[in-house]
Amino acid sequence: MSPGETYLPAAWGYALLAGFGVLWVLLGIRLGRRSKDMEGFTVAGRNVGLALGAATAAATWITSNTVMLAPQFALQLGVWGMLAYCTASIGLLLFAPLSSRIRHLMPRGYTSAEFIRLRYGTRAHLVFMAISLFYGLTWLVSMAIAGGVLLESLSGIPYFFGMSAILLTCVLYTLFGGMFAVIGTDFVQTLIILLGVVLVGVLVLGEAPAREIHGTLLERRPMLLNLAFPAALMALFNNLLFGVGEIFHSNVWWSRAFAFRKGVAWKAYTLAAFLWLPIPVAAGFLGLAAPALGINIARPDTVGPTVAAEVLGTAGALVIFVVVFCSLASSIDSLLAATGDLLTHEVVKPLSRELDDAGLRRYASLVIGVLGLTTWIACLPWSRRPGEAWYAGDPIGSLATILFFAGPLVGSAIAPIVTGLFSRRGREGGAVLAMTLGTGAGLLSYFLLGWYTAALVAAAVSVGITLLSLATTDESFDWARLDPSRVEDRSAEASEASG
Amino acid sequence: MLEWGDPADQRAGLAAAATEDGAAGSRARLYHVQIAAPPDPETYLDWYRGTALESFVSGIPSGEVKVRVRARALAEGANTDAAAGWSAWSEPLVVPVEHHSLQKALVLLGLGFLVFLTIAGYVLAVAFRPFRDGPVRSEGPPDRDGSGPTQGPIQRREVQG
Repeated sequence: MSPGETYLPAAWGYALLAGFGVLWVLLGIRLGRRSKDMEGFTVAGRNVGLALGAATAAATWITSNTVMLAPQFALQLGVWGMLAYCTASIGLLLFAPLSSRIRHLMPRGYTSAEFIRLRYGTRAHLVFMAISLFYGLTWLVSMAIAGGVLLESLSGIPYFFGMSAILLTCVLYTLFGGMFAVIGTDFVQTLIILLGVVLVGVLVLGEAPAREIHGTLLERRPMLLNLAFPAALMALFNNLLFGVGEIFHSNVWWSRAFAFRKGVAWKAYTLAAFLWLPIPVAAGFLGLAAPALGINIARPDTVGPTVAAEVLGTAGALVIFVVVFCSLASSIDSLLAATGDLLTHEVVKPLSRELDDAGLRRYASLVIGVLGLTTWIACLPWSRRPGEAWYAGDPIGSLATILFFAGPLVGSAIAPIVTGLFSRRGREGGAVLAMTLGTGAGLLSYFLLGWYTAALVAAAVSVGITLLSLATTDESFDWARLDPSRVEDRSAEASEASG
Repeated sequence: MLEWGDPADQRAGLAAAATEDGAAGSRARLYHVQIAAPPDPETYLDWYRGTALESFVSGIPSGEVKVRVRARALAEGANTDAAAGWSAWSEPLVVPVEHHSLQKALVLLGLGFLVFLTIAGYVLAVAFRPFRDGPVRSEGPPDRDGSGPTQGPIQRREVQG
């Protein structure tokens, strides 16, 4: 393919964009009829069952990053890289018991930051909010940019238009339907993504048999098959811990734990981990197949869509277009809803204590709108000339280097969250130190060693500080403080026990 | 990332950034890029043949990598594999490739394993323990799966740990 050419006629791209956009918005409006109050809007009435629960968790974890980064990992770090990306499912598996515990400790909870505030205190809450908002916005912006870039490269839809259309669609149906719409659309999107990615993987395997891929890699890129590839060895646990940190700290996952019906969370997250697992394998395979197929890759983070479109032609581009649109929508809507909840409950609510449920619901919608607008402004191609690729002369690097910049922040939050949920000991000073020093050490590692080490180093420092903090305190946290309504019931409980 | 241009064009030799002129001109030029890398650094292998001006390179072992490029005009409908009309090969660009030391990688691998083991071990060890230290579940929204709403502020009494 020559520079400037696209895989899909632009008219098809516009038609798909409009068709799916309208479909998601209508579905959101229909599903959103149930979200009449704040409880419905933010946590879907706390009554989501297993099928929807597993689908929404899997769909949210299949981001544009999965479709683009898993192949990049394979192309850049080889077989170890592909496996490293698969380890992100361990985050979902480990969060399964945590989600059950969260649901148990905070039956009326709304956000992950609320847990940190009640469990550790104001200073830890401030640090955690900074981490959460930075991560949420980074993820949101990176996905909207990736979406605009991909739609442009696949169909020639201008970046500005594609990025804006995706964001507008997601903002609209999240605004109308809240968590009901997010979870309902996730279910449909999961089915489309799973079918699409596995289909593309199988078809590409037909074009380039495994033996041919192995032979080409052995001859031209032997390090990709080398089990002692240093960068890949470093990336293995870094990616695992990055995934664990993303899931453990992010309100995207906590809001689902609050939304699931009692007894569903553990099973839903476990099932989602297994639903998600084939995606990075199939997507990563595209990265390994590129050299054998003789496809030139200019940008490592576009290797997946490029290979699919080159090998499968218009049909492949069509499938990838739909998969990318669904994976973007399933993650952007979740982030909008979860970050909106975070801001509504942790910033707006404390500032406007007089607000009733309906008032808070209106603010929640406003926050989502503002969040969408902020993301859109951040994604505008400020320094880009007409007709120029978005990354031309780009100093910030690939999707991996951007996304993993958040690695130290999320890696440092793992230990305070896990121990905070299960141990009565842990105190605020320890949590603050673990998050700040862990982040600092991780960022140093990012610049000194590489992006594939930052989350690992941050998590290691944070775990060390947290364990030290646990060992040097005899504080005993009262779990009832995590459920404010429980504190009010205290007197009644005491009188009942004595009676 | 490897970028190239026409060896005959002094502004855009091998590894030079693609200028606006270069990008426009690329539609009319066909490039042939070869790489010689360890373990056989003397044998050039075809890396790319086409109109693009850059390629992402990965998976090459440590050592000196030599890259060379040649170009020719790409006439409308011309066979891209035709041998005629190629410029001379450029002077090879020698790029040193140096991976991290295996020792450092193994240290980080071990550290990662230890951190993961600590976190996963802790989660699994406590997750299967009964919530004897949890709060008594206060009244909450009614469950629609038949378990029904709690009857009062206290659903069940648990021993405080």
